[in-house]
Formats: sequence, structure tokens, C-alpha cells
Amino acid sequence: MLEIKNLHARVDDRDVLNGIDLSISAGEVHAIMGPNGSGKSTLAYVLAGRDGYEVTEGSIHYQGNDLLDLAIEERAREGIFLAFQYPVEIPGVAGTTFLRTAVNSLRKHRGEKEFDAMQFVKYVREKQSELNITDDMLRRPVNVGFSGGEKKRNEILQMALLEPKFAVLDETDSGLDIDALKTVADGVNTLRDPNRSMLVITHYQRLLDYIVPDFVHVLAHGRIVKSGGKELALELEKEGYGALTGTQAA
Amino acid sequence: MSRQIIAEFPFVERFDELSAEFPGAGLDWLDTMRRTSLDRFNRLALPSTRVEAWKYTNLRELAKTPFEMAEASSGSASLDLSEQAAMGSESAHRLVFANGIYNASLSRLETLPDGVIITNLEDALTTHGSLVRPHLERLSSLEEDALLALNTAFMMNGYVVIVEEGIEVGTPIELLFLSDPSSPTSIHPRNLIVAGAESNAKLTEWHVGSGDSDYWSNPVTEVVVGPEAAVSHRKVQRESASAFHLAQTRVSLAGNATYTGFLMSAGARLSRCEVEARLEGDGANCELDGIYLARDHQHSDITTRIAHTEPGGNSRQVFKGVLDGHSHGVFQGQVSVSPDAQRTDGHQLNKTLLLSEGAEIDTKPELEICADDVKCSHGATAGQLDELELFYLRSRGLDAEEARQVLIRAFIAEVVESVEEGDFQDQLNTIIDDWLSNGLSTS
Repeated sequence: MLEIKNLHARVDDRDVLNGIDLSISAGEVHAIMGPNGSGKSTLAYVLAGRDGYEVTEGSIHYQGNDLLDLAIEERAREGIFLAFQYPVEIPGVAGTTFLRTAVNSLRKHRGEKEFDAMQFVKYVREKQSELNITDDMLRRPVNVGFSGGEKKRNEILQMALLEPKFAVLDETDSGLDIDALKTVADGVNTLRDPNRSMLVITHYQRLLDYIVPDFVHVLAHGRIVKSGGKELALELEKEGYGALTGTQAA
Repeated sequence: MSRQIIAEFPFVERFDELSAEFPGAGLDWLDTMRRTSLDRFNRLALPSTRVEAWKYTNLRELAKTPFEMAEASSGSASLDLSEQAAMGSESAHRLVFANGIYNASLSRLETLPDGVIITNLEDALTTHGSLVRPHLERLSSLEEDALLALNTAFMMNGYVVIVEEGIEVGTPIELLFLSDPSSPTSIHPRNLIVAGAESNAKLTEWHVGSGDSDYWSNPVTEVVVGPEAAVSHRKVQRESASAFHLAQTRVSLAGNATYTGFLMSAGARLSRCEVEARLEGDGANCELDGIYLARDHQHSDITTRIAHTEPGGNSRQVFKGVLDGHSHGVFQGQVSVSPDAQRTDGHQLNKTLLLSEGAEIDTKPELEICADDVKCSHGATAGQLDELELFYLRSRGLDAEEARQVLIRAFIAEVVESVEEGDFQDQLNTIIDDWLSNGLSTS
């Protein structure tokens, strides 16, 4: 589904990714772990297509096509989804309006009929209760005044509504207490599907107790320095990143 | 550089010839007032950018245009305009002025309650002269303002709305100024709103031009809000792309009076909407909100002056603008508080969104506070669309254009929502949608 080869990327004239190779098949959940500054979030932004994240070498193929040729929204419409580490607040835009516009732009792309307001409310209602998202949260401007947990739940709601084929979860556990973490993880697990792949980026092993990955990769200095099964996460938890990366863990 | 711009407008030179056709021609007091004002205009001339109040708005291009005056016959050409513009609502009282000339067949006056006069200036001078005269004279003698003097000298028709004490005009009143002259034409509407004590009226002005018509609209509107009275006064400026629009609204408020002004300025090549409100009675309230949208080489100036002269007054202003292309926005907001005006509460906010490298805003808030027990604030910001917000929206499937539109709408939503829900709010949204769909810079 996703094939990353020798990926180099630069942000603000600084080389952050220095040759990443990663292959993810349909239905697999991969975790990327690594200390701060190792390039985890940069990889997430490069996949989503954010401006200013310049690929200087290498390639990313998604479903056989060159992903780097696609604009941000084209990637989204082709099924790429990024759950943001810091979900963006958008004052003045009501949550429901935002979600409906997003869902409809994907439906339009797929040649499906766009939802009207009533149909959309029904569609959302099925998904929002599992994630403990109230109607009030949806009426409010996107993420404005939301707690850390609410923001992350809102990201997973978007993921549930947009039904991506490939989801990147960027430090979805950061800033969450254990209850909020469970809610979010349950939401993600519900979305696991033989046709949907995920890349779970995290600093801590804790998240992986709840979202159990098929593979774990360790990122350091913009390179994958070790790959393994889910047991690698536990090993890291015990040993720290230092042994693998040659530096002290952050 | 001089403080004056000397213009040789053909219509000004033809004053003697034209004056025989002016509304109220032959009324001695009015003829004298026009003559005095003409002399004053000739003495003052147009202000140059050396004059502080005109520092950011240059009238040189205006001064170069050979403006004539509208002929009475040109008042019939605007039927298409009123249909195209889809303005107003079905049930409103409506006065229509085409190229400055009253058009009776497009106007519509439902049965008026006792104590309400809605008419045009020409008829008002004939039938209600004693009611109109003191207001015209007071404003015209008030100050040294070239454009006001020019308007007084050449005042054509305009609307007159007089509401007697205690009367509520339930039906909204719409004033349509439609312009599509075929050669450079100057139009000088003179309007008057007088709301008696404890009365209530809602008015909406539309200034709309077609295509590329070359004209200069120079309206002056006087608004007198009596004790405990409430006036809602909305204005939409969508003049033609070649037009100049220089408007002045002068409001005076008595004790506990309320004036709610709203401005949507989206048209014209160069526009200046000037509002002066004087809170001259205890506990008067003035709320001014507005939106300015400009693109290409448009110049859009909003100038407000709020004078608190008595205690306990409130004023609130929120103006938001969106500038694209090489457009130039100006916001000058002056709030002055006299020594007697204790317990004044005055707030002003101006925010501008710049969509392109070439767009520019000059914003100048000015507070002059001479009382010690007051709450006053002002804020001004100018910024661009947020890169991260755009990325977030696009990462959810909205294309770049759609994402920008969502954020621009969100930016001005607060001002749109300050208008009560209904026809007018819907019309504002339509104007904004139209503006957005004309294409934005991609930078």
C-alpha cells in the first residue's frame, strides 16, 4: 500500500530525514518510535504534503502511484489521513460545517452524492457516541477551547468519518491521561480493517499497549535504525533509546 | 505639495445654468445656502493627502475626471439594475434614485402610519419645508468640509424619513441608489433621517452601479436620533468598478438614543465611507459594524468619528476587511471623550486580512480622552491566512481555494452575525459569496 524508499527531507534548510525505507501492506499497523527530534513528525508531514517539508531524495509510492506528485487535498481524497499531534483551532468555523465540508469533498471525489445537513447529522451520530463527542462540541468552532483529550477524540472522529485507507497518527497519545488514552485507542481499534493501514507515531511504548502494532520501527537521526515485532517496543521501554541511537534518550 | 487639489469640474462651472433645475430652486434660503456652499467649495477645493484626514486617500484621479451632472432624462435607465441587484425584500417601503434622480415608478410606498413621512427631498422641500430646512441649514453651516459644501451646493434629490414621537415604523425602509450613466457623471444625493423621541425605524441603503459606469457619488446623510429613539441604518456599497463613492453620514444622538449602523463596502474604484456620530445626550448608544472587501486596485476607506460629549454613553465598533490583489484599505477611527462625558464606554476593533503581497492597509485608531472615569479600548490587527489552518483544512480534503474561502468567511462571520438573522444577513452572505467566487490570489 505504501512504499517509502531512501527518503530524504529538509525543513528550514535543515536535513531531517536521511534515507528512510519503509514498506507497509494493506491492513498492517506499524509503529514508529524515536526520541524527540528524530524526524517522526517530519515524516508525518511529508506524507500529508505540508508546505515547507521538501523531499530532496527518494520516493514515496502509495497504491502504486507517486504520492509526492499529489497536492495535500488530493492525498486526502485518495485516502491518506493525518491525525495531528496538535490539532489546529479554527475560530469562526463550526465543527459540523467543517466535518460536512470535508466528508462531502471526499464523497464528491468518489462520485458519491454529497450529504445534506440532515443526512450528515445522522451519519455523524453513529460515530460520535463511541468517541464520547457531544453535540455541543460539534456546534463549537473547530477545536477552539477544547481540552487536549477532546482535540484528540475529534481527530479520531474525523478519521472515522473520512474512512481513510492509510492513516498516520502523530503522537495521538501526547497530553492524554489514561482514560482519554483508552477512549482514543478504542476508537482507533474499531477502525482497524484488512483494507486500512496505519502508521502510529509515538514517543512512548504506553500507547502500543492499547493499539497493538504488527511492526515497530525505531527512528533516529532521520533513519530507521531498527525494526522488529511488537516486542521491540517493550525492549525499548526497558533499555531506552540511547542504546540504539548512540545518544542519551531525550 | 499643496493642501488642496484644484479641480476644474465642468458641472461646477455650470452652476448658474444647472441651479434652475435643482430641487427647491427658487426658495430664497436654499438658493443662498447653495451659493454660499459653492463659494466655500471653490475656496477650500478638494483636500490633498497633505491634509491629515486625507493622508491615505488620494483624490487626484477623481479631480482629473471631467464630471458633468446627471440630466433629468437619465433617471429612467435603471430598471435592469434593480432587477439584477436582487436587493431588499418584497414587503419594504422603497425609494429608488436612478443616477441621482428620483424614480417614482420603481419606488413603492405602502400605506404609511400617521406620523411617518417617507419621501424624496424635492417633495419634502415643497410640502414639509419647515421640517427640513433647519436640518439642512444646521449641517451646511457647521464646518469647513469641501465635499459637504459641494454636496450642499449641488444637492440633488435624496430621501427624507421623518418619524414622529413614539411611532414605530414596523416595515423596513429601503433606499436604492442605482447608477449607470454613460459618461462621467457626478451625483450628490442629500438624505435626512429624523427620528422623534421614543420612535423606531429601520433603513437599508443600497448603492449599486452597473459594469464599468464612470461616475462619482457624493452622498451626504444626516441622521437625528431623538431621546430614547432607535434607528437601525444599514448601507451596502457596490458601486461600479470605475466609480468613486465619497459618502458622509452625520449622526446626532439625544439621551438614551440608539443608532445601529452597518456598512458593507465592496464596490467602487475608490470609496470613502465616513461616519460621524455625536453622542449628545446622557446614555446614548452607538454601534457601528462593517465589512470592507477589495481586490485589484480598489481603494476602500472607512473613516469614523465618535464624539462622546455627555455622560454615560456607549459606543462599539467592529470593522473587518479582506484585501486582495493590489487593493488598499484605510481605517481611521477616532473616538473622543469630552471632559463632561464621564462613564463613557467606548470600544473599537479593526481587523484586516491581507490575501496578497500587494494588498495594503493603513489603520489609524485615535482615542482622545479628556474625562477620567471612562472605559475605552481600541485594537487593530492586520494579518494573513494562517498556513497551518489552511494545511489542516486541505489535509481533510478541501481544495486550496475552498480552504481559503472557509477561513475568509470565518474571519468576517462575527460581523455578519452582528446583523439579526433574516433577509439582510442572507444578502450579506450572498455578496460575500459573490466576492469570493470571483477568484482570489493564489499567493
